[in-house]
Amino acid sequence: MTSVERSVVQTFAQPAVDKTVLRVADLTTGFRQDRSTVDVVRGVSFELKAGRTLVLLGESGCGKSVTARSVMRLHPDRAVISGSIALGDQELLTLSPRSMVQLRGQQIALVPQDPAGALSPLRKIGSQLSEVLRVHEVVSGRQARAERGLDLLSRVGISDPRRVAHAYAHELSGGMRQRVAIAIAIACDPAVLIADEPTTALDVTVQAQILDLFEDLQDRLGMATLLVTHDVGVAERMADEIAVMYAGRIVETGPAETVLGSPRHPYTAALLRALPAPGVARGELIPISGQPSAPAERPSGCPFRTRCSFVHDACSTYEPALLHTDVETYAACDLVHPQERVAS
Amino acid sequence: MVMAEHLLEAKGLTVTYGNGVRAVADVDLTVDRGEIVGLVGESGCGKSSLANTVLRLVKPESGSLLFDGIDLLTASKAELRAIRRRLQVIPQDPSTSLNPRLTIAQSVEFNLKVHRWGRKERQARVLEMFERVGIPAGYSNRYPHQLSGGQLQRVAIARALVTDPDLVVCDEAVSALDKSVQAQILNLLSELQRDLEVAFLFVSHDLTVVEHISDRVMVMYLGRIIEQGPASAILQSPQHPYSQALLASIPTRGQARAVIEGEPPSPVDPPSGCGFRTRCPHAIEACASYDNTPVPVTPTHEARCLRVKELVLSNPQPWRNQ
Repeated sequence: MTSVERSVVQTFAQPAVDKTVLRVADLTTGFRQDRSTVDVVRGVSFELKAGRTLVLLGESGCGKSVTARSVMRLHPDRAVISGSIALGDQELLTLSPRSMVQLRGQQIALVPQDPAGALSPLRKIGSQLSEVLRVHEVVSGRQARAERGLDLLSRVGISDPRRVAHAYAHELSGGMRQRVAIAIAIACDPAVLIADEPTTALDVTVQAQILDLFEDLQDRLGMATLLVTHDVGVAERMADEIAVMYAGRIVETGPAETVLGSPRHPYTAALLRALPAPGVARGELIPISGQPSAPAERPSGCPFRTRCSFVHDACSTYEPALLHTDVETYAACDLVHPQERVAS
Repeated sequence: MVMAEHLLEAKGLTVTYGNGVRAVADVDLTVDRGEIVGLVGESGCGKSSLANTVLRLVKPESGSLLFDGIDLLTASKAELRAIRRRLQVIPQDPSTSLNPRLTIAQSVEFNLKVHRWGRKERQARVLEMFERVGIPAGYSNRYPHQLSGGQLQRVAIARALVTDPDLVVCDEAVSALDKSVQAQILNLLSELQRDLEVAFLFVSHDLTVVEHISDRVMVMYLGRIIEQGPASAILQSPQHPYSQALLASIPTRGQARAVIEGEPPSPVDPPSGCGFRTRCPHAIEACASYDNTPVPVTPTHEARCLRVKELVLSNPQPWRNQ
C-alpha cells in the first residue's frame, strides 16, 4: 500500500464509535509452577468499543497487567492461556507468532508504563519512529518516513519535533518520553490501544497533560482503549466503562459513574472508602484489613471473603458469578443476588 | 535544660551538589514537638535532599540546622550518634532497607544495639514495638521476603520508633503501597503520633496523602518552599499558582484541562527570581527579579508569589475546576 492509499484508508475507514472492536471471552492465563499451574487471570471477559475507554482497575497482583499482556500475547512462554480474544473476526489466540508480530503495533498497540525502558537508549527517537513505519510498511521511502515521524511527534503535542527526532531517549524528560512512546503506538493508526499504567511514573502535573493527550487522540482517531491503572482518580477521569479486578477476576463492571458512584461489590466500595479525601479526619481512614492473598494461596469460595466486612457462611462455599445488579452494573458477590445463587 | 522553642529549626538551608545542582535553596523549616509537617512536591523539587539534610546525611552548603537547640552542623560524631536515637527515618521501600539476611526482630533490635541497650531490654522492647505496630509476635523470626509490603512497612516503622525518637522523617513512606494497605499505615502513623507524641516530617509527592496526615504543609518547587500553611488552608485555598496547579492536576471525573504546561526547569540553571515563572500562567516581568520574600496570607499561611494578593482579589477561588 502506498502512503497515498494509506492516508485515504485512514480518512474513510474510521471505525464507527461504539462498534465492538475487540472481544475477550473467558480469558484464563496461568503460570506453570513446579508441576501445577497457578491461574493469575481467571475467566475474564470484556469488550472494547471504538472511541471508548475501558479501565481495568485493581491493586498490585490482581492480574490486570497480565490481562493486558495476554491480549497482545506478550505473556511469557511458561504461561498457559485459554479462552478467546477476537479482534474483529480474527481469533488472536490461534494466530501464528509471525502473524501476531505483524498485527502488534499495527492493529493493537501498547503504551508502556515506563517509556525509559521501552525506548532504545542507543538510537535516536526519529530512527525508532521510522522503524515502526518501515516494519509495518505504512510509509515507503526513508525521507517520507522521516517526514511522517515528525508529523507524529507534533500530533502528540511535541512543539519542536525536529529537535526531539534527533535526540536520544535519555535527553528527554519523562513526560516527553511518554509522548514519544504514544507517537510510536499511534504510528499505524491502530484499532486498539492498550495502555498499561501509562502515567504512573509521571509527576501529577505532567500526568494531567498526558491524560489530556489520550483524550484528544481518542477523539481524533477513534481507537478503542484499554487502560490499566491502580489509580482510582485516573480511572474516574478517563473511563467510559470500568472493570474492577480482584484475585484474577473481574468482580464488578459497568459504566464508570455507576461503578464508582454506586459500587455494589464490597471490594469496590471498600477501595473507594480507603482513599484519603477532604473531610476525613486524620487516623479515620477505613482501610481494608489484611492484604490480597497470593494466587497460589487463594482461599476457597470468594477470594475477598477473608478481608470482607460483609462475609457470611455462603462465601466460603462457592465463588459468585458476575451477576446483574440493581443498577446498570455487574458484580460478583453473594449479597448482590442471593436468589440467583448458582453452584460453581 | 531549657527546651528549645522548636524541636527542629532550620534557617537558610542551601544544598548544592558537586554537579552544580542547587537542590535546596534558602529553606526555613520548623517542626514542633508532636507535630506532623508535610513536605510535598514533584520529582526533582529537592524534597528528598531536604529530608536527607535534616537527617544529616547530606551536608548543606550554608544555613543553620538546630535539633532541640543543638547545632547539627557543628555537632561531633558522638553528639550526632546521641541525637540519632531521637531522630529516626522510615524509608520509602522497606524491602530494600531491611537486611535480607536478618530476621525482622534482629533488624529492629539492631537499632537498639547501636544505642547500647542491654540484651534483655532489647528483646522485650522489640516485642513491645511489634505489638504496637500490629506485627504478630509469631512473626519475629521471619525474614523480610516472607512478609508482604504492608507488613514490611510496619517493621520499618517499628525499627524507627523503637528508640523512642522525637522526630521521624518519612520519605515517601506509603508511596509503594496499595491504597487499601496505605490506609492501614496512615492510620497507624496517626495513632503513633497521638500516643507517643512523636513528630513527623512527612515527605511525599502525593498531595492527598500529605493533606490527610499533616498539621502543616509545605509545598516545594525547584528547591524552594513556595507556600506553607495549615493543611486545611493549603487544600481549601492554595494561594501560590503552583500549589493551585498541583491540586487541579489530581485526576477526578470531569477534570478540566491541564493547568500548566511543560516540566520544571533544570535545577542546574534555575530561572532568576521566581522559579515557577517559566510555567506560570500569571507571570509578569517583575517575577524575574522577585527576591522570593514570602508574602503573608494569614498569620500562619504564606506564599512566595509576588502577585499573590492581586490574584486572590481578582479570582477568589482560582483553583476550582470551572
